Amino acid sequence: MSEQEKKTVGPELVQDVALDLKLAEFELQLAQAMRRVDAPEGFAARVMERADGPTVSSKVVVMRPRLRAQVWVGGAIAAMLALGAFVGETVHVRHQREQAALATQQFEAAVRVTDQALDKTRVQLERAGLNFGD
Amino acid sequence: MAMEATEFRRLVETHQRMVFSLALRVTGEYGVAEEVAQDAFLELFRAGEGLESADHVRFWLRRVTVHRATDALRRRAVRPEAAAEEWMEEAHSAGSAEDGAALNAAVVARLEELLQTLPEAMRVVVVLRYQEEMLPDEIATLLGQPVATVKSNLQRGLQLLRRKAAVTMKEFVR
Repeated sequence: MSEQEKKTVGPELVQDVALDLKLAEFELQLAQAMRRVDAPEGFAARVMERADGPTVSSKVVVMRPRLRAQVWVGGAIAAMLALGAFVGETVHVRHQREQAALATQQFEAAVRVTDQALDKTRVQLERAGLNFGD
Repeated sequence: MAMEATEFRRLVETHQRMVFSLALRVTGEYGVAEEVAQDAFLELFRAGEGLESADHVRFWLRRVTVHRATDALRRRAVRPEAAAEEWMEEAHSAGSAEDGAALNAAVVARLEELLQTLPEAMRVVVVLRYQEEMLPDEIATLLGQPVATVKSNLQRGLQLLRRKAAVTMKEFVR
């Protein structure tokens, strides 16, 4: 692109076009670099051997030691979480029961106090000659 | 229903380069790639009778290989960045000499190494686009993703690769 053309279209567009060209060139080089590679020596024979043999299904069933360990660890964590939830729930229920018992005691005490106050008031009124009956 | 052994061998021999290359470029690890490629062919062996045409077989193999390769990456927590050197040594010890292309082996190896540093989603679409020469809509169908997602990953992957190449390969990216 000549200097005159650059002035006409503006510096931003010139930069964009240059970037596009570079990207296009890079894409071309990338496509050249990313040709398929050969499979390892004896690959087809090994695949045929697995297809013929019993390993096709057994490979799926047999667990690797690492995977087995992961299952154990996962199980242990799940059991710990379940136990934790159970203990938490038990503690919560016990706490609620204690709160309920305390509230009942407080209520009963309040009723007793009220009864006593009422009795006292009635006695005083009777002494004053007022009788509200039994 | 499994297919006939003769037909299966023919398919393995026809597609082994495609399947192995896909697995290798996605996983970045030679041994894992062979295992993934073998598993993909064994799945084909079991499912083979349902595949009607050569195009269908190719599509199916590409899809299964990409899925198995990404599964392997996640399952084994393979970090392609770490395995890139091994990849380069093994993959290019034999193949690059016969290419005779304009790019020399070092540049090719460096690009492969940079590819392994891309995030998984970008790497998969870049490999399908430039190794398999698939169009974005074909990649979208294969991966079951929207075309816009594929285009976005492709664009970002390419720009990221180019930026990395610009920093590490000044003689290559002008």
